[in-house]
Amino acid sequence: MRRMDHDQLLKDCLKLKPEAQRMLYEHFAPSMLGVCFRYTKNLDDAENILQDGFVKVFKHLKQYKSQGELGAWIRKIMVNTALTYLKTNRKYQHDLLFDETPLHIVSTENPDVKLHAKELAELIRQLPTGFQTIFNLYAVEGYTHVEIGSMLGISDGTSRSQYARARALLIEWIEKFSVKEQNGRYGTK
Amino acid sequence: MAVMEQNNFEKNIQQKLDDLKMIPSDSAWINIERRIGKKHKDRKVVFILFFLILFLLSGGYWLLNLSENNVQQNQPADTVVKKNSNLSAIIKNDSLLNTPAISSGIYLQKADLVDTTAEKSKTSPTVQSEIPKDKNGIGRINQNQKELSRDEIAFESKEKKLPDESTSIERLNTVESEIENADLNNKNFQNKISLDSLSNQLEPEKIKREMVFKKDSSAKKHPENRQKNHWVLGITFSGGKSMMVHNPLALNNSSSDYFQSSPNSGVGSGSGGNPSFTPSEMKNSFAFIGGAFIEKNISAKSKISVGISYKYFSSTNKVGSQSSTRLNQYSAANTINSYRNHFHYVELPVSIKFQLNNSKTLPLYWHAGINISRLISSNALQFQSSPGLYFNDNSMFNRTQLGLSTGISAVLFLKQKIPVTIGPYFYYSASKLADKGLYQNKHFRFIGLRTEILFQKK
Repeated sequence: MRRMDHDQLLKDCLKLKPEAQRMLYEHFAPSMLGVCFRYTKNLDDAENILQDGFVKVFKHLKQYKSQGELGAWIRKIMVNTALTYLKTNRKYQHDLLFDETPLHIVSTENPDVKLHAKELAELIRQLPTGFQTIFNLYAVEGYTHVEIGSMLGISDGTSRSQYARARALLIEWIEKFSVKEQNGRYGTK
Repeated sequence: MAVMEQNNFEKNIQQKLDDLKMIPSDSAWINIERRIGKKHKDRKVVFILFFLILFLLSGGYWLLNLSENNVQQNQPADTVVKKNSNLSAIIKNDSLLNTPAISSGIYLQKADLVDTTAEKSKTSPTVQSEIPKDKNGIGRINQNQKELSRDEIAFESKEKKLPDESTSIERLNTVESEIENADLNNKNFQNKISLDSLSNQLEPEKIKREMVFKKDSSAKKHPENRQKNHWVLGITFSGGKSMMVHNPLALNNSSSDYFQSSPNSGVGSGSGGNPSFTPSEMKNSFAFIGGAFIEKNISAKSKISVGISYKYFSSTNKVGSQSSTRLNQYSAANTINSYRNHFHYVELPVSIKFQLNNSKTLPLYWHAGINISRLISSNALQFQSSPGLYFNDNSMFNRTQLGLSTGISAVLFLKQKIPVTIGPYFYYSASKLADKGLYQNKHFRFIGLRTEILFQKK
């Protein structure tokens, strides 16, 4: 979207013009659904978060400062909405209980990720909710462990250890998946 | 080196996932649109309520003024009707007729008649020429409205008996002869009271108008009763404490009963060593209700009132540091900061008052009512025990609340123009504040002092 179009679209959205709101939604919804998808276990929940998130976007749009990317601003809202959803939804609540494990082993493995985005997202979604959330926040969104600790009400040490475990598990799965894929390609079991 | 490699993995993941795009279902946008539209409607409701308040206030003020004017205008007319049963009696009242003010008053009467009937019956030029055109004349006319109304009523007592126009004219002749026979010694007046103007006065429309006036004046024979059955505008203000109760039958209604409060940090022992939090103690806090109402007597000792009010309830609790300013989230760890939960309502109260004593100097009333209120906004925090977070989510609240109110009030300064009612007021919200979350199955209660000011003319 060109900058001028973008500014005009914002102005129209602030004037509560339905066409502009629809355009803004259509522009950002696919990538934002991708974000929401990574935090949940099924697509319905991801769409629920997307809806809650966009309602907040339109409600607080006047608070958006034009200096930053609108996409990044919307993404932050989606992430926060996803966290609230996980914390308030019974399905996920229990999985967000974190073990306070002070020791953690940092994996140095650095596998080449040859998976497609969707496949990678599916693997991340297979992680336990706690691991999944912390992995998304740290590896994908780029939050620090201190920030994650504050967001989730845990210590930064817990965040670190949870992340290390999530990372190790994911790498293991990625490797297995890659082997499986290779075997499948060459017709071996 | 290991960190760099680690970072490579994260970067790789980031790049891959940035490309992840998925098409949402069509229903997603429909739901969003509906929810945004609902918010717009909420705004509209606020506007409508605002204009409703304005309308009620201005309407009440207008009614108040109208009743005041009627009382002022009609009070002397009653006396005149009672004392003077025919026109000659009034006309013979030299002191009244010979004043210049009265003469100009009669000019106005003619002027009005000329204006309304100019096209139908051409009034004699004499009459038209005698219409005062200067500003002073008009001023005098306004000043002498009361005297004029006396004349009208006196005429009316004659006119009412006339069945049709022909008999009216006969009667007019009689009236004229009465005027002539009267020893007025005022040539100007005799010239001005012409047959034309009188016949104009007796037009059916005029008769109708005066019949209405007559009806009004008969009502004024019991002005006290009339005023007592009128809607009277008032304003009210209640100040006190709002509290949240779980069970209306519970005697100990402190909100702390419903939370296992932990005064230190709010951290409890979760299963398996996981940190689980309990919400901090919810404390009762300041609340007030203010609004306007209209009130009417329904019997000698009872009244009904309806109105519209703004209601503010609040509560306080302790929270930790703010984790997200945008989403109004607070940590449940190290709860050292005080947070005030505001609840803003618009309320439509309907109540009935019963007088408890027979005192005319200090009447005591017991009142009971039903209040329908709507939550218009709130910053109240919800709570998540694990991982311990306070967050704002108004969708969990039942926005429409049905409440019951009662109280006792004493009317002070009853003999003054603006009596003041004061007394204790109790309100209980019969509806649950929320079906889930921190406020699940809780009800608001309010105890305070209520004052009412009635704009009642004595």
